[in-house]
Amino acid sequence: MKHIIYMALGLMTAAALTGCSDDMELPPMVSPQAPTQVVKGLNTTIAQLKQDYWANDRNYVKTIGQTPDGEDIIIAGRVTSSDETGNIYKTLVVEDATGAITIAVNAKNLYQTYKQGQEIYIRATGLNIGGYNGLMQIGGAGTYNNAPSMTQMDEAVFTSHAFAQGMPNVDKIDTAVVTISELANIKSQPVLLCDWQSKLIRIDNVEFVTPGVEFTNGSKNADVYVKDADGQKLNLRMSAYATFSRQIAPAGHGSVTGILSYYGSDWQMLIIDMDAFGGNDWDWTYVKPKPEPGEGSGDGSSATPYTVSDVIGGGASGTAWVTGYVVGWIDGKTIADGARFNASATSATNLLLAPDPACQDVNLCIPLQLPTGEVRTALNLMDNAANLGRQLTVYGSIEKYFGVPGVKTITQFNFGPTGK
Amino acid sequence: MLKVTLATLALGCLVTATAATGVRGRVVDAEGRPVPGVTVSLTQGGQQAVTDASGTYWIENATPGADRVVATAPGYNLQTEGVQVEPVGVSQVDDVVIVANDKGRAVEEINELFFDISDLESDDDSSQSIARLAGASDDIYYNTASYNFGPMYFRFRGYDSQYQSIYLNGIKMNDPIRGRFSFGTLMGMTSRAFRQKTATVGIAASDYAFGSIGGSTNYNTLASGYAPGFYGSVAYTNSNYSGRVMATYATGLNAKGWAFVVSAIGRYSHEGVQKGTWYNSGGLFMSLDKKIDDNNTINLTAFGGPTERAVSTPTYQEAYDLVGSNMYNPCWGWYQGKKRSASIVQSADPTAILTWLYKDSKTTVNTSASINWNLYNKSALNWYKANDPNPAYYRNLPSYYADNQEQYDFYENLWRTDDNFRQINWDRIYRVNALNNVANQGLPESERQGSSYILEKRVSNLFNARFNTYVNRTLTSRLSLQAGAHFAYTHGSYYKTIKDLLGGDYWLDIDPFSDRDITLNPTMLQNNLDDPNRHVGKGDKFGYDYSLNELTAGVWLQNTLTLPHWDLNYGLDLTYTQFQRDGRWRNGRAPDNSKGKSRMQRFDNAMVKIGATYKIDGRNFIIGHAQYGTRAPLADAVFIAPRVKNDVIDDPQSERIFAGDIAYAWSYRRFRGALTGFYTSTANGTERSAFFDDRYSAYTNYVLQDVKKVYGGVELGMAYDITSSLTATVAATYARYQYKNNPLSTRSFENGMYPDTTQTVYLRNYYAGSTPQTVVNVGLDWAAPNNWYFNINGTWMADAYVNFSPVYHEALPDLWQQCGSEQELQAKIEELARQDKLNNQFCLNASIGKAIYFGRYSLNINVNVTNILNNQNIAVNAFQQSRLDTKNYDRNKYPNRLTYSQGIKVFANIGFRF
Repeated sequence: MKHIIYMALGLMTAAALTGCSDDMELPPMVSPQAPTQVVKGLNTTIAQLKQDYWANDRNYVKTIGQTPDGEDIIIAGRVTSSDETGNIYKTLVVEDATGAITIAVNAKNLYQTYKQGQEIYIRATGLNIGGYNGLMQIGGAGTYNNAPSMTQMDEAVFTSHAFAQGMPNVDKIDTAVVTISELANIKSQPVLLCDWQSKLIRIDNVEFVTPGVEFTNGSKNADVYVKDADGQKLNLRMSAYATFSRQIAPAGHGSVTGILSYYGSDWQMLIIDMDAFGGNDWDWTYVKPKPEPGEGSGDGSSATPYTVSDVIGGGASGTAWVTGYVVGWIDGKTIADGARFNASATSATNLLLAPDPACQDVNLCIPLQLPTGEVRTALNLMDNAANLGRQLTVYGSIEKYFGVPGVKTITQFNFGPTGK
Repeated sequence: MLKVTLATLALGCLVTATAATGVRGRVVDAEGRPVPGVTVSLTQGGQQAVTDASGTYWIENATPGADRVVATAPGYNLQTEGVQVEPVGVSQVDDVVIVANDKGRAVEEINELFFDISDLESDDDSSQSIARLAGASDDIYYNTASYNFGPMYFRFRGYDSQYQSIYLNGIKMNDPIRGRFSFGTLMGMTSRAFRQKTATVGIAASDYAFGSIGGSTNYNTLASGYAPGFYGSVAYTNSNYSGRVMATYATGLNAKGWAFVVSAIGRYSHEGVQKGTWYNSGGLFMSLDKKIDDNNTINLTAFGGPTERAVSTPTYQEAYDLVGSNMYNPCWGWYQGKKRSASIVQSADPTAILTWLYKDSKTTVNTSASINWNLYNKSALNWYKANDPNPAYYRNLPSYYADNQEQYDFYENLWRTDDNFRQINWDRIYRVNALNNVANQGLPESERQGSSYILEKRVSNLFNARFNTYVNRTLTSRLSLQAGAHFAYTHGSYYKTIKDLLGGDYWLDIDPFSDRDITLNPTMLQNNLDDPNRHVGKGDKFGYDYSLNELTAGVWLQNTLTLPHWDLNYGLDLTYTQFQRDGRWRNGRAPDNSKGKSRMQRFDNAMVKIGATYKIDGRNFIIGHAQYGTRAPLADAVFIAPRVKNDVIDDPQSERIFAGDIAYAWSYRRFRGALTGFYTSTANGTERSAFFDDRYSAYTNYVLQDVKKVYGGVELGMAYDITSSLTATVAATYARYQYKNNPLSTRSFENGMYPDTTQTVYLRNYYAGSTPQTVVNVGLDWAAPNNWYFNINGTWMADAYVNFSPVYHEALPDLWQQCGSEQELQAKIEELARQDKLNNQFCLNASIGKAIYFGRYSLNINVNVTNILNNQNIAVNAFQQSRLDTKNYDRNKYPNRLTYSQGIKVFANIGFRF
């Protein structure tokens, strides 16, 4: 049939018209660009700058001048530090192929603009350089025990001298691998001491001296030591403000990576985040043996679930079974105002669990969060008033809810004293 | 330009002089309208031809002698007419009048009902204007697309409705400011009062106007064209409205030359398919003819009627999920025990047209003058120094509290259970205003506080005066000429008034969004510097008050040529457009360029088109059309921030349009259809949108300039008569509607806190949103014995995209701060620029019709069920919000807003005729 040929021809023409599916255009990438004259004016390595201004004093301040040719000294490097976790604070560390330098800036959240791997160009002329209790750094001029010493420079001074160039690339950061013994040797030679300060280093095959103990108590900075097979120790200086400050030091061993800093007369390492710990042999689940639990406590298992008191007292953690009695629910957004010891609920999202069915003291209760689905449908008091007073054992994540210890993400439950 | 056309015309005459012998005639329907696409054959010789847009056919190489022509068309009864074929020259045959059969009538009834309802659904989409096809053409694809390409918003060839022209007695009725025609003007009377119409598909030639690339429809209201008698109908549907009553009486032409038609309609719903919506509409239509002599008829048509309805608005998927229904409507709340809507539309389009029709054997001249108003307002809540009262405000949604389980649970519970939270809380609104009044007690007037919340009306009232004349003259047996001239003036008024102070004392007329802690200049707050800090009350104008005035004038000329193997047409259209803004108030954000008239914007435009049909034989045809020219930009798009100032975009340009299509059509006794390929490109386009930008707490206008788009694809429509009463149809399209360049945009903040900015928007190859680009419909029609009629059809709709927001396609200068590497930045850019796609959908529909005759009375019953499978997840319109989270660049922070189509939808209609 003739028209089939025409149709085929027509379809082919049409397919040619519509067939090409070109890619959708994306807006161009906008990345930071340092001024051209700064990029072109790069004339000094970080190692050179440090050697030129090094002094063996612990505290001193010098002002960076110009090159013999009368040009401004310009250095460049990539950011190796990050203040995102808070262990490094108001500090930026920049490293090039020759060395690294700590820059003290009176600014928080530097990582938002100067991420790890970010290349930056610094017009160093006019900035202060010197020592702060043994660590060479660029910063502001201050005093230490009434003697000239380094401090943080104003943020505005820094931003007028430092320029980000391109997008960060962490692959271009080198990590030097050393041993603690080698560090001791480096420290004894001023030239090497100068060169190695502030470098990003990795130490392999170390272990914590006191595993099972929190890095800090959450309020005071702490010295946490690792040691190598020879018993040589290195201080991992931990800030109480770090997001991981309450981390329990693991057992086992592995590598640790961080910024090689210096304080007084010895090295200390500043770790950036928990990725600092490499290798597969760290045991993060290690718990220091505890004294025997008191009477009436459970262990979170199905047979002997944690009690409400265990949860309140902090003796229970992780994902486990918890048992108690349904005594009410919470209306609104706070437990203090919202605790209701009745079954006339207007919210289906939570329950109050108490050690005994008659309990009306909110301080003895824990809130349960009821996730949408089977759990909420079966447990909520809005639809199941009869649940009031029943013993309930739930399996969920023991964490804070309404600001107090509670159970969230409940996946299983059983009416009765045990799990199922 | 005119000279060129006349020269071409003369050339056409020459060509005609050399042509051969044959039979020529015209096929018209019972109302005298030409019917295109009718197969006409000679019973003796067997030669065939198909009628063109003017209903004309031409059978070549006819055998001399007595013969009969037979006209056959789907939906019509077969009709014959005698002819004496002359040995030399052209034998003219009298008009063959074909009458629609019951099957045709049943289809029409259902289709019009469907059209009425569907139009309602799309009419109110403020962000979207849907080009509804007006249907009723013999093109199988076009007809199916008109009625069965739903419920997703199918747009013919992807065009916005501004590319489609609607005419009433030859006068173009589109709103010139926004470009589109609102079918609400016709008050739901398309099945009766406006049933006489001619549709022109795409860029094909029509005899009443030059037309637009999206096609055109001309409604003809000549009273003598209506079948005499009474027709009444009652309809039920479970959609936006629930009941419809309609009655029409036509006298037919009496001996004294008078004919009169009167028609009335009422549509009502206590509550529509979405909670909190309702519908109330009435309309009246009258048409009076006086036939002065055999050649001259005068007609006066007048119609109009008010519509008031409570509507819904697109919202977030999260809200639909929380409430548990895709029919959730955030626009209402409980008030004094009843549902009260904040979103009420009032509209009326009173129209009067005077027409003089001259007709002789060779010439038709249709001259009309009209005045009409498009009165429209929509109410909404407004607030000052108070919380956003809209329940679906993003800070009321649980997802806003994703990192706080207690808050999340609290809000989730409220959303699931509490109507006072997930709907408008009128009690709270009144309480806040009442507390202001309490605090005002004893205070001097100057210290009294006004309403914190009000209901405002956003008014847009257009007045149009229009004139049009066109002539259609047969020059020779093969050559005809169409020409026309038109003139239109529009005065559009735009302002806000107070609908309800909601218990408060007054409303302070300043821009709430300019009022911040640090206001650079206190006069900036003022909406009217000449009357600052005005206290306004119910009915008072406030906010803004301006008009847009537009004048257009044009002429067009067209020549059609019918040759043995070729039908040709070409035409030219010349249009002059001017418009300006006239501000009544001196606005504090633009004190020097808001009051008084803006500079007049003037545009001269020309458009040419050609069309050709090559008749391979009596059954196979190749048809091509092309159109090229310019079109003035819309006044609505050219003014950057019309509510504030007279500024226009830099160097406004006319849009340059090329459109072409080519089709192969075949017409065998049982199998007919057409396969069409089309390609349209538009360049120098101007598009304006407006949105609230959370970043700057500012209502923002955003104009895209120099936009290039391409619409390309194929359309297939075919019908196969399995038996004489059973017909299978297939209609399908596969197309791409895409932006094709990176236009410039201008951003203007209405609160005046920042100067206007200009930037490139990277849009190349993104899709025009919310219309399926792939649609397939398969249907079966059965005209059963005893006047039963059955239809079942299914539609597959695919490749519809969410309307993107251009702000996600600008270069983002601070985005790099979120990213740790080049790869991450690139991935983030890709994530932000990604265009979301709507799910593909299938919809099954069926209808039954039955006609009963007793004497001169007849009764028809139709039931139409769409979406039989009750698919409640058909998103029909979705758009990306134009606010960008510049803190974290989280794409999901401001999710898409979308609208769903309802599930199963039933129409039932009973009509009575005598």
